[in-house]
Amino acid sequence: MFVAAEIKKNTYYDSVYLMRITKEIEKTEGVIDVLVGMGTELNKELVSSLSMMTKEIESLGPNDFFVVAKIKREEIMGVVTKKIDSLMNEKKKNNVKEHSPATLDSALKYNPEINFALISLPGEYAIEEAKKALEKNLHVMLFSDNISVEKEIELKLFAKQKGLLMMGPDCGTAIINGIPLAFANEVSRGNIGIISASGTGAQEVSVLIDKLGSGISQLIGTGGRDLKDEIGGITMIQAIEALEKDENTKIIVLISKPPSENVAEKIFKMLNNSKKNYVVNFIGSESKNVSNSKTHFAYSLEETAKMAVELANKSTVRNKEVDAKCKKAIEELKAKEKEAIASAKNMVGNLSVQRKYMRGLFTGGTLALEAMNILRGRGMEVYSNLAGDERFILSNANDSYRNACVDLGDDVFTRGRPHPMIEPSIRNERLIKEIRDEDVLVILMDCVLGYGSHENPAGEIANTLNLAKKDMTNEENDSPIIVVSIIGTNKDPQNLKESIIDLENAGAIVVFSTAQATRIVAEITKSIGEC
Amino acid sequence: MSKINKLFREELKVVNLGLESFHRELREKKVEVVHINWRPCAGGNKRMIELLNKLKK
Amino acid sequence: MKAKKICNRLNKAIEEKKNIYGFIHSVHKRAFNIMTSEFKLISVMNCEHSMAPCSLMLDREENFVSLGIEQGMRVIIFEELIDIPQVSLAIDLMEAQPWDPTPKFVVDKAKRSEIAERIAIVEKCIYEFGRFEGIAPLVLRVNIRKSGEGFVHSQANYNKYCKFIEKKFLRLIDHLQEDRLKEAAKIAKKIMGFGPGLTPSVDDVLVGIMLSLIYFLHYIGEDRLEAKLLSEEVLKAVKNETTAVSFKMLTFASKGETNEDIRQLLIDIFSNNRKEKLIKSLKKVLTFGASSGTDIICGIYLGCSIMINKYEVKSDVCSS
Repeated sequence: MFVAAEIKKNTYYDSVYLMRITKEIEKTEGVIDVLVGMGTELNKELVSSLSMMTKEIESLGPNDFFVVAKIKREEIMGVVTKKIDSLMNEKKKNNVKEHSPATLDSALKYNPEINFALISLPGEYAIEEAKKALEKNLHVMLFSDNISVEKEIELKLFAKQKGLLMMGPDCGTAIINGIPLAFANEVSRGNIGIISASGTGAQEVSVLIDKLGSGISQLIGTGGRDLKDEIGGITMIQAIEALEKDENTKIIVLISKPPSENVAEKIFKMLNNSKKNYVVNFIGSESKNVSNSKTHFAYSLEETAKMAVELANKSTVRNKEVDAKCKKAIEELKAKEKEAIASAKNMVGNLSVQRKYMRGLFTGGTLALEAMNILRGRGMEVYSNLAGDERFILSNANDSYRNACVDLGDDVFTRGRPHPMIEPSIRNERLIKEIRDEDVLVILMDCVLGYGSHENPAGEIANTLNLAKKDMTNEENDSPIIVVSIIGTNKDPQNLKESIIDLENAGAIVVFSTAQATRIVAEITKSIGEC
Repeated sequence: MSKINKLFREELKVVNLGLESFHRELREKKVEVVHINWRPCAGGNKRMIELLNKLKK
Repeated sequence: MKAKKICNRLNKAIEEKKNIYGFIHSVHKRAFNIMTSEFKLISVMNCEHSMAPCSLMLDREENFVSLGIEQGMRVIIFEELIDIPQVSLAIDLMEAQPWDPTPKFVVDKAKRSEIAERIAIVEKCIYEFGRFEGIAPLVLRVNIRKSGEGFVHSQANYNKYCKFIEKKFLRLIDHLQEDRLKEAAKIAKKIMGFGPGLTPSVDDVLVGIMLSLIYFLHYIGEDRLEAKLLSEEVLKAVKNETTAVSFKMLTFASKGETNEDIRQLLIDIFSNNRKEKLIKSLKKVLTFGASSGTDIICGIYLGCSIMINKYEVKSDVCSS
C-alpha cells in the first residue's frame, strides 16, 4: 500500500469544497481510501489507524489541512499527488483569474513585469494613482483631465526626476511600440516619431503617414498644456531626448498649439543641436526664424504628414518603390480633391440662393482649430467656441451664427456626458439642427476612427443624414452640402471602406484630411461669392 | 540607457486604471494588460474618508 | 461596503475599544473571518448568510474571494468602520442594525405531549434531507429513542469516521444520560476536533447537544445548571483541540447562542408554531455546509432525546 498526501498550513477551505475534493479523489483510478480534514489530534489518530500517516501530517495542527489517499500501486502516486495538488490550487487559480486586483500594489504583486500605467480615473483620484505608479517605476499615460497646473508640474517633475514618461494629464493619444493607447489608430510601423500635445492632431498625422506608405516608430503624447510657460515643455523635451537616441526614429514630428516664447526657445535650441530632421507644426503660429536646415515648418496636419514622409523616404536608402508609393498616394489624394470640388460646385447650382454659411461640427478640437485657421486665413469671418479672436466667440455654443466652427468636445458639451468621439448623439442632434437651418450652405465634419472611438462613427453620421433626408419639408435636393474628412486606416477596428461607402451613399463628400475638407468648403463658399 | 529608451525595447505590459473599454481593446490586441478594479477609498463616502484620514495620522 | 446588521455585543466592543487591530483569518466566497489581536474571531458575511454572534452582515451579495481579500491581510477596526487597506476596502458600520445573539426562549410553548412528536419530525427530516458524510449516521444509530417506525436509510451508512469514534461517542451518551456531566465533558474534550469539515463533525454534534440542553431545560423550567456545567467543562481545554472557527461556535453554543437559522429552528421545536414551519426550518439548516447542518441537528436531536428520556422517566406523567 502506498500513500499520497498533501498538506496546507493555516488554510481554510469551506466544507463543501472539502467534500468535493474527497469525492474527486475517491473516484480516481487506483485509490482505495481518502481522508480529508483539519489536522486535529483525533483526525490524525484516524489517519494513523488506517495506516495512512506521513511525517508531514504528523506535524499538523488543528488549523492546518490535509488530504491523504491510500493507493494500490506506487506508479500512480505521482498522478494522485498531482490531482490532489491541482484540486487544492484550483480554487486559488480560479480566484486569481476571476479577481481583478483592487490596487496598484496587488496588481504589481501578481504581475511584477508591468512597465506602463494607463490611467483614466476621475481627476482627483487620478493624481494619487499616477504618483503611486511613478513611485513603482512605471511610465504613465494620464488620460484624465480636470487636474490643476500645479499638480501637473508636480507629476511631471517627479517623472523627469525618475527618468519616466508622464504623458498627460489630458493625454488622449499615444502609440508605444506599435500599440495604440486610448484614442489612437492602427498604423504601420516605420521611422517617423511623433510628439504631440494634441490628440486628434496626432491621429490625423499618423493616419496620413500610414496612407502615404510610411509608418510610426513611436507616438508620444504630452498632454494639452505641456508647452505652456508654467509647465515648460517638460514632457516634450524628455520625448525629444528619447527619440534622438532611438535608432528606429529618423524623423521627428512635433505638434502642438503655439508654445510660450520661453518654451519655444528651449525647444528650438535643442533642435539646433540635432542631427535628425524635424517637422514642426505649432498650429496657427507664424513662421519661425530658425537657422537650421533640418527643422521644417508645416502649417497643416496634412502638410506635416507629407513633409515627414518625404523626409523619411529621403533618409532611407533610396527605395524607389517606397517613393513611388508615396507619390502615387499624393496623386490620388489630389485627384480625389479635384473630383470632390467639382462635385460640390455642381451641387451648389441646385441650392437656394439663401444658403451661404458654412458650419463646422468637430469632435476633435485641433481639427476644428485647423479648419478655422485655414478659413480665416482665406479672409472668411468664422465664429467659434474655440478660444482665439474675441470678436468671433459664439455667445452660445449651442447656437451657430453665420460661419461657425464648433468644437463639440468642449466642456460645455461634455459636462455630464461622454465625449462625442465615444457618444455621437451630441453631434447627431446638432447636425439635424444645422441641416434644418435654411441659411446653411455646407456642413463640415470630422469622422475619427480607431481605438477608443465609437464602433461606427461613419454609420452614425450616415444614419443621421438619411434621417434628416426623410424629414425634409422643403424641396428635394435643397439641403446643405456635407463634407466629411475621415481619419482612419484600413487596419482600424472600424471598416474604413464601408465607412466611406456609407457616408457617400448618404450624400456626403468624403476626403482624407481636415485641410482637404476645408479647402473644399472654401471653394464652395468662394463659388457663391461669399469669401 | 535611459528608462524611456529601455521601454521602447521592451514588451509593453500595461496596468489599466479607469475605463474598462481601454482594457478591453488592449486585450483584444493581445497586449498583456491587467485591469484594476479600482475603488475610491471607502467607496467615496466622505465621512469614511475623514475617519480613515484620522486613522492614518 | 455597508453593514446591514451587527451583533450588538460586537458593536459595543467596537464602540468601547476605539481601535481594534487584526488580520484576515480565512476567506470564503460568502464570508470571511477577522482574527483580532485579542484572539476574537469576527465573521463578516454577505446577505445570503444567516446572522450569527460576533458577526456582521453586509447589505449585498458580495463575493469576497473575487474582491481579492486574502489571508493575512491587515485589518483595522476604527469607530464606525472596518478598513482593509491592502484591497482598498472599507466597511461602513454606521447604519448597521444591532442583532441580539442571546437565546430566544419560547413563551408560547408547545405542549409536553407534542414535544416527542416534534422531535420525531426532526429525526424524519434528518433521514430525508440530511447529509451523511460526517458522524450523523452514528448519532442516528444510537438507540436512544424508539421512534416507533424503524427507519433504515441507505445513505445513513456507517462510514470510517463513525467506526473510529463509535466507542468513545457511545460512552459520552451514556454519561449524559446518567447525569455524569464531568465524565461526559472529559470525553467530549477527547473527541473534539474529529471528523471531516472545516468545523469537524464531532464539534458540530456537540454544538447541537449543548444548544438543545439549554433550550430544553428552559422549556421545562428547570435550572440550567447542568447545561452550564457541561459547557464549562467542555470549554476548559477545547481551545487548542480544534479549529478557530469551530471553537468560536462551541463557545457560543455553550451559552445557548448560535446563528439565526438554528435559533429559529430551536424556537420552532419548542413552540406552538405550525409543523410546516418546523420542517421548513429543518430543511434550511440541514443543507448548510457539507454535513455541518446535519451534524448540528443530529446533536439537537440527540440532546432532546436524552432529555425527554430523563424527564419521562423522572415523572410518570407523559402527557398533559
